Formats: sequence, structure tokens, C-alpha cells
Amino acid sequence: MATSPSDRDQEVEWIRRVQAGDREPFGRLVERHQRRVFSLVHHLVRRRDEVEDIAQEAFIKAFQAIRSYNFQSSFGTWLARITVNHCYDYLRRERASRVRYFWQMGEEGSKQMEALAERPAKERREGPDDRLAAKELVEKLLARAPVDDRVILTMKELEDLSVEEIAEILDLNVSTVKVRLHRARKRMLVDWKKWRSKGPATGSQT
Amino acid sequence: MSCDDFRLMLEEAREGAAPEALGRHLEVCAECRTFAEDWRGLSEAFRAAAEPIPEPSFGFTERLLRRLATSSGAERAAIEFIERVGRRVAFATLFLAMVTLLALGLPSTGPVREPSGAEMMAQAYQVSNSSGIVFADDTWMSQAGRPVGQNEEPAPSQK
Ligand SMILES: [Zn+2]
Repeated sequence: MATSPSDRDQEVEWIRRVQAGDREPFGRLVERHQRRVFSLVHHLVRRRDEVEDIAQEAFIKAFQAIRSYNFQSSFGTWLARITVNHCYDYLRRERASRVRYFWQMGEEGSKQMEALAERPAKERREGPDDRLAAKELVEKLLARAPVDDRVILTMKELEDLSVEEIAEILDLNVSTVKVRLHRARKRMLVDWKKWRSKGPATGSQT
Repeated sequence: MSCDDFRLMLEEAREGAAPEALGRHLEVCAECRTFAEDWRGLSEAFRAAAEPIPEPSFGFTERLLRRLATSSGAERAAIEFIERVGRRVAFATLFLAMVTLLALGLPSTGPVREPSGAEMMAQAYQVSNSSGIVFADDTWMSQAGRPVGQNEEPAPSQK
């Protein structure tokens, strides 16, 4: 978020001081970048009660690793990388435990999706109701998607980051990001169509 | 160019900025037209799913710096646990306070006047502040044997 040159200079100075062992300027860095971090965590994890804990943990990781920051990418990008990696770990752990997402993958989740899909077509066609249903459906589909798909789609479609920014954050090259994004969108669209038009009766079960 | 190439183009095209070649292909390819329609629906849903960013709670940075200051691993783990629990308790208490206020507020809607939702919210906030709920973390922290010198924070009057 450091836009003007003086902002940047100031940020560089803060970073150098933290790298030299002064803890206090880290607070300034946190305040400058917390919106971005909160947004990423919120959209990636989608649990309001966990956002703040996860954001704190991401900042702690950044603090612990700050000596390895070499000013190659912007501090915001470097911090976003740590945040996304931390969310990755969280999502993988969560997925592995399967406890938390049981409702989304299990019977109850299917029922909720059925209810969404079975609304009369004309009710789903227009209006705020439709928007809400679409939003709920896409959230559920993201929660069920493979973690890689979920992360890349969230960054592109919800966070509205460019392919170049995503590449920098994920430390991948741009063409890899494009390919992964296209594949993730394709899979998502298949799921989307299944639940949106036909309903689950003709589709496969979860 | 294959249909897949056109679809990639379509995904990348922002509103009103589709390349001409794509338009021509859509005129002749019904399958890609269907794809375009589906993709439009999905991308609208994505946009709807982008939510406003939650604000960090009061004292977020201070708590973070305090955590960083606690160097001993065991102590830090204990404090992290307590902060977590503390905040849960704070949320639960706030919720209970609101529920109680609603429960108390409803029967009194006799001939006098119904309290507005805004008033009830204000009451709930007052309760939460006067009982120090917002600062529950700090309360817990001091019990955890926090280093002295952290207690000079201002009284929880208001944000
Ligand atoms: Zn085609």
C-alpha cells in the first residue's frame, strides 16, 4: 500500500529497524498492511471467528522471518505471500481433520445445496434472492473445491488480484497461474452448472 | 483457434472489452454461447461473494506486539491460549447480553413505547463496555502473570 515515494522510504526505514531488532516499528507496518491481510484471510478461510487469530499468526510469522526479507518484491507482496501460505496450512489442516467441513461435505451440506438448486426456476431468475442464492452456492462450492483451486479462485475472483500479482504472491510464473486458473474455473463451472440448473437429482452425489 | 482458446479469452475479457474475434466465434458456436452464459452467472456469483473486509478489533496491534514481546515459548503458548479463550468468552458474553436485553425489552412494549433497535444496540454496547468485556483479553492477561507496566492502559471508557 506504500504508494508515494516518501511512504516507501518510510516503510523501508521501518523494515530496517525491525530487522535490526527494534520491535516497535513493526506495529506501523501492521497498521499499514492489515487491511490486505484481513481481506485475504477473510476470503480464504471464510470464518469470521478465526480471521483475527489467523491474521495475528500470519503477522507473527512475518515478524519472525523479517530478516529474510530482501526488498526484492514489495513488502505488501511479501506479507501477502506469508499470509496465503499460512491460510494454505490452515485449510489443509482443516481439510485433513474433516471435522469442520463435515457439514459441507456430508449429508447436511448436500441437503442445503439441494434446497438451493430446487428453488423454482423463476424464483431463481431475478432479484436479490437470486443473488443471495448464487452467493451462497458459490461459497459452498469454494469450500468443497480442492485447496489449490480455492486459493487461486479466491485471489482472482474475490480479491480481484491480477494474474501478475498472484504469480508474485504464489511465487509462480504467470503462465502457470493462467493454466491453473483456467483449470480451476473449468472445474468450478462444471460444479456450478450441476447444482444450478439440473439440481442434484441427476448429478452425482457428494 | 480452438473453442478452449476462445473460452480462455472469454474468462479474461472484462465487461465490454471482448475481442472482436471472440464475438464472431460466439455468433457461430452455440456451445461457447452456452459457456459464456454459464460463465457470466458464475462470475457474478463470485463478485457477490466478495465481502467487505472485517475491521480488526480494538487493540489488535497492541496485542500483537505484546505477543511478540513474550519471548519464552511456553509462556507465549499459554498467553496465546488465554487470549483465544478470552475473546471467545467476550463474544459469548456480548451475545448473552444482547439476548438478555432483547428478552427484557420485549415485555415492556406496553402502552409506553417500543424501544427501537438502535437503542437496544446502544444499551448492549454500554453493558459490554461497563463490564469490561471489550478488554476481556487484558483481564485474562493480567491473571496470566503478565509483566508489570502493562496495566497503565486507559480505563475502558469508550472507543
Ligand atoms: Zn466454440
